[in-house]
Amino acid sequence: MERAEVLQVLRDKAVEMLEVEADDVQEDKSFVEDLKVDSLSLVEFTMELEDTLGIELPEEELVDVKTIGAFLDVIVGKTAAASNADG
Amino acid sequence: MDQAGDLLDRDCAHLLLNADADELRATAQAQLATYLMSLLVWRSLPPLDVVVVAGHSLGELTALVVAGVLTPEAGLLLVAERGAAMQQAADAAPGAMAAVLGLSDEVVAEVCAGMDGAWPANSNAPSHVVISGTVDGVAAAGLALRGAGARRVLPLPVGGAFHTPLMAPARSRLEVALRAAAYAPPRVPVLSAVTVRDHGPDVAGLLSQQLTAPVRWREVLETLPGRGVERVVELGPGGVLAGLVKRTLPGMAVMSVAAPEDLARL
Repeated sequence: MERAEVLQVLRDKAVEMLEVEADDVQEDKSFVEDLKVDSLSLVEFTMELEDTLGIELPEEELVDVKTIGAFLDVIVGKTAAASNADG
Repeated sequence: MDQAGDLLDRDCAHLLLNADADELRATAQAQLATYLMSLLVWRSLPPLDVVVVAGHSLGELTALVVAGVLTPEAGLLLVAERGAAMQQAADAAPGAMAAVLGLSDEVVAEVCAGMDGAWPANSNAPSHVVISGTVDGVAAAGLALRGAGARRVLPLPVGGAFHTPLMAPARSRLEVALRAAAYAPPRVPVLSAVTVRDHGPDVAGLLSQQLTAPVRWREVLETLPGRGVERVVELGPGGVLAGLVKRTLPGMAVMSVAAPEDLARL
């Protein structure tokens, strides 16, 4: 999947599950610091993305992720690996 | 807030306006702040056609005030005593809690039954159970639950084994205050998350049991559509309960009122 495509999925899900505005879901923002999302909601959101995109996002790979852009980097890497494995 | 402060001889306005996360992590302070915020929100609401009220753990006291069973003042004194009793029990026997995502109530109960010092403490939503117990018990149960297929085990920032048998000392202390309180008949039904039935005459008994019994929140929510509930309104900070409603009752209208700007959406 293209990065822009993944961002769109992430943004739609964030609006649906996290009570945030689509315009606030920007790559330089942090879900926790800027959008005030609590840790439990963020974990449920991550699990929903795993289901939607058919990937796994282990906690240990997200420890250093501070911004939505960094989160996107990890997801894009996973979807690329998943489609390579499929093909 | 000044009234509440006079009643408790402490600075309630400070607690709501200035206290930081560390100060609020102490359960006694967190409970007072949550109760006061929730009642402030309730008082600012326009009249609603209320079918039933319910509260998660501490929130059951707020629900009883909303239903007129307890006066706000009586509720405040009980919340203060409840928080102090739980804090004392937690200081004497430190505990921990963790949210377990991705396993059913039954599997979590089965795994905990085979371990020391860990119990299911909240059934919050489908595949969302909170366990509670000793620090070692919860850590060991967390690993066992991962092994049993849990997708995530998330430690919660609390220091006590709330809603487990380890809270028995808190019950004896709270019962003194519960016996001294006055209870009026409810204006609207109040669901108990201990029994998943409406509160009857023994309000004090259920509020005591609550400290050592699991919070059956998912089951409470599942009764709502059958009672004609068309919308769930969460009072107070966080928005966590609104999320649990969405997960448990897909399609139910739900909103969380934590601040004055949320009122415009009602």
